Amino acid sequence: MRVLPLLLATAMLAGAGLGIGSGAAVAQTASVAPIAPVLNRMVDHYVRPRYAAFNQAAVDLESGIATLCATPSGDTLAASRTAFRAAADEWSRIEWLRLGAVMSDNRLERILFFPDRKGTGRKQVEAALATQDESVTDTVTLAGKSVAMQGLGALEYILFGTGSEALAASAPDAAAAHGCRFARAAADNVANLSAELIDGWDEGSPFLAAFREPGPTNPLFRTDEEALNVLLGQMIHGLEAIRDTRIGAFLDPDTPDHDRAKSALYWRSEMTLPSISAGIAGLESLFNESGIEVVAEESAPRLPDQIRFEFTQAVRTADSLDAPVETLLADPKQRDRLVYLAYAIKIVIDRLDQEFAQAGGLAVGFSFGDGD
Amino acid sequence: MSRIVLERRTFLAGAGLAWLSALTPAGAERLAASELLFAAAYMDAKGAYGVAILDRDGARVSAHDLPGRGHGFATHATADWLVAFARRPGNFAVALHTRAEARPLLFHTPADRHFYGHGAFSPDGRLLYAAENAYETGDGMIGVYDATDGFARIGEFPTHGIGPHELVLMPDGRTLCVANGGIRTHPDQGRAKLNLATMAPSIVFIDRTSGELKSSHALASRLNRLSLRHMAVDASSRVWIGGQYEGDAMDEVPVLARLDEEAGLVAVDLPADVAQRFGLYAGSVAIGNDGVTLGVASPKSGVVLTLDTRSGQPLALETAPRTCGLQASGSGFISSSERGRFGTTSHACAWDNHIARV
Repeated sequence: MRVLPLLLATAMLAGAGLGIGSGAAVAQTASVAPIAPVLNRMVDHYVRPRYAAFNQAAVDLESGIATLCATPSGDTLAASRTAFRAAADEWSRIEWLRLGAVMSDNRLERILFFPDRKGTGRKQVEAALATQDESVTDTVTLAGKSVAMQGLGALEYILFGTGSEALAASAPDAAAAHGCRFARAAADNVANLSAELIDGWDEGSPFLAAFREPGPTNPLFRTDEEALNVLLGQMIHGLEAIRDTRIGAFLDPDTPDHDRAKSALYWRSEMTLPSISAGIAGLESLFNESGIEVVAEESAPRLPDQIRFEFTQAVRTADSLDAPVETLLADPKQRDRLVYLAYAIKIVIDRLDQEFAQAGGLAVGFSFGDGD
Repeated sequence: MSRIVLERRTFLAGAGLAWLSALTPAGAERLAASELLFAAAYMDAKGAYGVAILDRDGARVSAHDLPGRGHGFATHATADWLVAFARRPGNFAVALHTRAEARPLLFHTPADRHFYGHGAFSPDGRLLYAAENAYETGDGMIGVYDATDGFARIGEFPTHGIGPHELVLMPDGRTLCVANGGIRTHPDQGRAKLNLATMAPSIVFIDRTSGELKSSHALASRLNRLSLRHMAVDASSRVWIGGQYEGDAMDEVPVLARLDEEAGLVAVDLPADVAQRFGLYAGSVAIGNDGVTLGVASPKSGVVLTLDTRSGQPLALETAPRTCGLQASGSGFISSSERGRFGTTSHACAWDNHIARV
């Protein structure tokens, strides 16, 4: 059939009148600033540098663990742990980008499976360690296993969890040697996945071609408005998820009795708050590096600076909470700051969801049109 | 004065003082003149939520406040009530009496459940079935409420899936068809989708009198990330299902599926130039008054498609920015947008995703 953009051919309609009324529909077409330059800056200055940095961190982690396995010692274990923290930090800066290769082949979940309310990942890793399952020490077979046991979650458990000190023994027992090989395979797997993310955003990939240029036949977004919606969605959903699934995992603002320090992501490596900080900072750099503020340039010229200020407040608050989650929750003052951190994130969300979205031409803000 | 006009007047009176005070003289005239009324949830310019009653032209007849954001409705020709459900993860519903003078009833799910925004009445209008989330276990549930007893919750049964969304009563009056969208969420985790890697959406038939599962249907495993959410039943009792894809946006997957007794659940292939206009997203589906024309809306990409359910052939594809609400009207459909358009009338509010017939 022919695609009729605005008006319906009466003859063709024969009982299929949509009652849309071309006048009303056309009059309300939003005006959004041209988005292609924003998309291109986002690719060049945010997505690619961040995936490259994560890939480097994952490669470093793999080689660090290889050294640990070959020459176990307190130093090589410490170096592996440092490399894990660096990889977790880099992942936190790009993990909220939910576009492209990360959305296929379960790559997102394979790199980090969280929230994991039932502790599935921990149980699977524990079982593999207890039985010294050799299949988890090979990158290829590990990549075909449960998503919960092949990424950063498994790595953290092996490097920081119960029994991890045995990895440093100069003559490691069979269990420790097996654990080290498992960790190395997981790091190798994460490095492979990060390379696939880079490939997915490579010049010449069908995804990137579509991403760079919205248009009527584009599978990703047909109009500039749709593209703006998607970009704002990355930031707003990311901030919401940091608040709801990362802070919310261990903090119950109303009932301290319900706090759960050991449900926090990365509590073993004490990367919980650093990861939250890096996540917010990553989304701030998406906002800044993409130059998305151009869409509000005329209608709200001061709004982008306000948003930057509020992003920075949230990052500073997270950075000031420099202690293990358990310690923070036990100290009423620090705990109050955690509650404030959730609020500081909400302020940024509201600015983006309401004021920025509307200044950018999305009539009712972002969240309202977010589907169901 | 005709019976229908009297009934319409009673409907307003029955809907309580808020409705009466909201009814302008022009609104009363519209009401008397219109034999067809629609209901839709909205957010007004101040960010307050409500449900509006509109006439066949999309002019507002009256409005009623809601305690939070609404979504879909349950109505039935024999039911005394129009029920507006909270959007996920809300736990309230508001019932407006459509005949007698009665105050609106506000009722809730139990504390460990929330609504998904959709429901259906039994053929006699006495029982209400609502899609719910038993969120600690993640099990999809149908809550059963007694419309003759202030919507007291009298039971529940499982939907044998996760994230039930729309449900419809089949023409036999006994079978409920439920779309298990497959996405696990938890109110403590905001809108995080917790199980995308293991999603298993399904369409199930359930005997509403026993809660017994009659059959469960799934698409091919490569489509496990196509969340099956909205449904309409055609004159041949075939169920048409609109999906929302949670996988790679570059994948070429259908957004429409059809379920009938012979063929089971099958994906509906649209011509490529039509399919790609949906942005892998169908926000609502509706069957026309002729029983054979299907309407499908994508608010994401701003299109409304009509197709002939007998041939599966598209009839028209119209550009309709941010349009999701869709309902049979006359020989076609009426639609609404988040920018305030309802039919051909503009309103200073954002319409939510669905339109019900009252």
